[in-house]
Amino acid sequence: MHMYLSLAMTISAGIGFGYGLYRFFRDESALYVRMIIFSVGCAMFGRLFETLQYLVNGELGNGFHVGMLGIIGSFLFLFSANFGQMDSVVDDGSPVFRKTRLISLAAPLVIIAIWCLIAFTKGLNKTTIPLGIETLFIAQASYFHLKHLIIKDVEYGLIKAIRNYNLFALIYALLCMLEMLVESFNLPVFCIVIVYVLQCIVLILFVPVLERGVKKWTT
Amino acid sequence: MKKHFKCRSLTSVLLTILLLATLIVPMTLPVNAARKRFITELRVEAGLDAVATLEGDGWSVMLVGLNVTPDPASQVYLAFKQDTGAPITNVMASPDVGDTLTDSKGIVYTCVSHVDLDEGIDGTAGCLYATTDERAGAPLVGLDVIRGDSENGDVLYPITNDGAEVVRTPSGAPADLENTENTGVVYLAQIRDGIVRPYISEIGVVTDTDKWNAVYTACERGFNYYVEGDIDNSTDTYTIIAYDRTANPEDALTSVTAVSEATIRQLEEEQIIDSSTESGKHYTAAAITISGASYIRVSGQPVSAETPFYLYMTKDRSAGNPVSMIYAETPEQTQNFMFGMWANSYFFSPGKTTAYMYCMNEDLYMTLWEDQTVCTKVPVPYLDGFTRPIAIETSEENAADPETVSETAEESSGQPSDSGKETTDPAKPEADGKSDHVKYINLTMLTPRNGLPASAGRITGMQDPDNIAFVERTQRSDRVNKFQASVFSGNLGIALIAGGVVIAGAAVFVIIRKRSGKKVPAATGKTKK
Amino acid sequence: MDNLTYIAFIALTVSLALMLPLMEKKTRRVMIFMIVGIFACLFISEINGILLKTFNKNIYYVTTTITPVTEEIIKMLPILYCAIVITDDRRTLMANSFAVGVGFALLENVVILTQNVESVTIFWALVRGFGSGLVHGICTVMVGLGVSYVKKRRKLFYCGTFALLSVAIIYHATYNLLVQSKFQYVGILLPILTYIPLLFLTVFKKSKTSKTEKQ
Repeated sequence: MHMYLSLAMTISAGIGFGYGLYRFFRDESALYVRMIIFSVGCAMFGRLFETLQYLVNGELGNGFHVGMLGIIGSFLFLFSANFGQMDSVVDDGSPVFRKTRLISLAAPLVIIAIWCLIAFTKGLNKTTIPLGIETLFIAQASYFHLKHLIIKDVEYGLIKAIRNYNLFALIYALLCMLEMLVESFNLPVFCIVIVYVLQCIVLILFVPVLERGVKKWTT
Repeated sequence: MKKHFKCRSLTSVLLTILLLATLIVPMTLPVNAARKRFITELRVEAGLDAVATLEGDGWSVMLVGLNVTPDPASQVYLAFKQDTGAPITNVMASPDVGDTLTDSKGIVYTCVSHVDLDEGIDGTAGCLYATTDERAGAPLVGLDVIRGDSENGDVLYPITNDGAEVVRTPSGAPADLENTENTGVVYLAQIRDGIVRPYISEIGVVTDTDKWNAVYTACERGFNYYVEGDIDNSTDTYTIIAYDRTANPEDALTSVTAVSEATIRQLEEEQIIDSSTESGKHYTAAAITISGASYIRVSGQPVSAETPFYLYMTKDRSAGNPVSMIYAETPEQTQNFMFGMWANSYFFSPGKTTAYMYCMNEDLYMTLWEDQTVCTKVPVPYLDGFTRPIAIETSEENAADPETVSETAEESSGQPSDSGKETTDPAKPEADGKSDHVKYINLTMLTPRNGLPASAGRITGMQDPDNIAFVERTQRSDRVNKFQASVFSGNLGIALIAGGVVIAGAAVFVIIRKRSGKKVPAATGKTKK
Repeated sequence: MDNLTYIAFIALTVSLALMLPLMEKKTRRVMIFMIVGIFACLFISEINGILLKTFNKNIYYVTTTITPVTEEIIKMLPILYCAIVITDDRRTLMANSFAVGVGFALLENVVILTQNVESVTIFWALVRGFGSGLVHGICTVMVGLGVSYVKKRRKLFYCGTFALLSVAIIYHATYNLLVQSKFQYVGILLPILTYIPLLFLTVFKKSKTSKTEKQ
């Protein structure tokens, strides 16, 4: 079952990635957008590896596996796009945004709390430690997504236009954490399926939602 | 502005609540049971299309044929299915071709498929039979085909010391699946659930003309492990210690001791209990008591040595902790050697079962070596005399020890239990200066003081086989490594040092350049001139 | 045969190094990076040897999980050095990256060939040639892309390079996984299918740029 779920995720991310390549790589487009497309591509590669691992070995094995780097890379791209590109545009570091910055910490805190729950229940071992590292990358990306979701737009609607995308990215981060949770606690199949299906939907809609927002930049 | 912030704060609070809610809801749901993968169906097919047909029908085929023959048309394949029904608990091979057979315990076996194991090569191996009866043992989680050809110089022992159990015939002999006049030998090994059995439960002494025959006889007697090395001094015979394992420390041996034949004779001569049994009998004490612990004899005949001796074992906890390993070593061999040999031979696998990897043994070896507290090297006390008169054990005392003592003694020695004898204080022969016996035997037991270390679970190179099918691993071992994906070396280390120096040098160079403020052409597309 | 990797390294690099003085500057740099790639392979073989021991000689696990990580990191180092000290021009970096990757694959293929000389086939040559050569090349190019931001945009460099490194590691591990499984054919197709679009994209962009420059 896990193999098929991973395959579904690979296909969904592949659709998202393919669509992004088709829409944004024909002509010169913003590096910010490209990085987000790379993020979906990275997720696709990670899931592809997991699918193949299931296909070849029948199991993913305990502890670290390379497929985890798909999630890490994916969130690093998202983080990189926000931190390296967008954040300096929307937040000039002035005290006006101090409150926003503080509130935005809620997202990484919740995400880290989910991992802490796993770690406290299962203990620190070769399974939970790699998950913890993964969590750190998800948490740091989620900070900027929440920040860009709630921050006051002062730059001609630049950030307002992509708020839906940021919401999607935040949901994606949450779903990744929920995936960890359902896998760690061996929850019923329908829980696992729901989390995976929601991730599939998010991965497919990621780029189109971003595209809708980005279009507003030029209109 | 204020309204904006209020709105955003509310959003973030709601989101946090949502996140927490999604956390709590799944937590309240039940947990799935862990999966197990047992072998539930077996099938044997022969011929050119056997593999394709079986795979087409959804069977997993073991790609190692059951015949040692270059003719693909005479090749016999074994296929299995997992988790489709009741798990198989034992497999047997019998030349009697029928639908069922019943073993000595009354367990009924069903014929796997009416395909002769020697199909096309005129042998008498017969058919495979399997049972799902729980009395036959723990469910099977893996199979392994072990093949050898004496023409190629292969010496194939039916006992592999790797925890796998060879498939036997109804008479208990190891089943050679290529029972022909050819030089090939094929054994089928079965791997049971709960293969990690760290303690020794039974031992036996087997003497035969050579090592192969001794191991074969040990296998016939139901043992699945043997100690490497000939423990007698005769050039005409080969004597090994065979043993079996258990996961239950309560069922484990706690000590093994050797008693000289002369001592036993002296004991019997001086302490004859029943004159009615005196006449024409070869007296050997089937059960003795040393320091309050009851020992039972495991060698029916004395082991040939300058001073012939008998081996005794006990499960009495007063004699020590459960024994994990017995190793026969000469006095010149060091403890280190013993550890090494254990690490090598305990789970040494001459077959294709990569599930038990040498490296894992090495890992255990390291654990034992580093943590000296977990093992005790106890030379087996070699009793060649008693300093005090031996008290005659009363019949009540004898009865106090469970029947198993005499039963096991009978099983091990093949002789009836004579009587119980008690020694109140056994002599310590080493202290007496009688050291010539060490020329012949120095049995060593490895006894964990506080149970086995945590890593003991890894001694077989596998975890509890919840989700792992060992058969898959078996098949993986057949892969050739020409598609190996990386290069491994590790003897010279020159490249490692050179690489380290280059990296460090480059880093220092970059730092010095930065400090000296040298500008490097940036983002111009032009290279440095 | 213990120092087989060293023998192959010397045999390859000496002959390539002798060619260096005769080459033009641009091609010489590419060749130097190729030699660097060969040395990186030699270096990593030692590290891999240690890792193999550490992970209980489980070649399959090590090659699908560990060596992709170490190999990609080591291959990145010369590119990073090039970007900091020599040039951070993207196109030059890409060429150098590919050279490092190909050099790496060259020694790897030679060593594996000599270790399995009795069992190798034309199919093996195709798998190793197209597969391994391209995989190492493409992976290093991916990392090179991130490294090219080292001086232009530090924020992008740190996160972007690590992200691209992750992609390269996954890609590499996927190839290693496939090539050691029964899906070897897919293993060989993966890098080819990636390389062809990349090649088209690069050639297409090049011609587009030269056209614009001419105008």
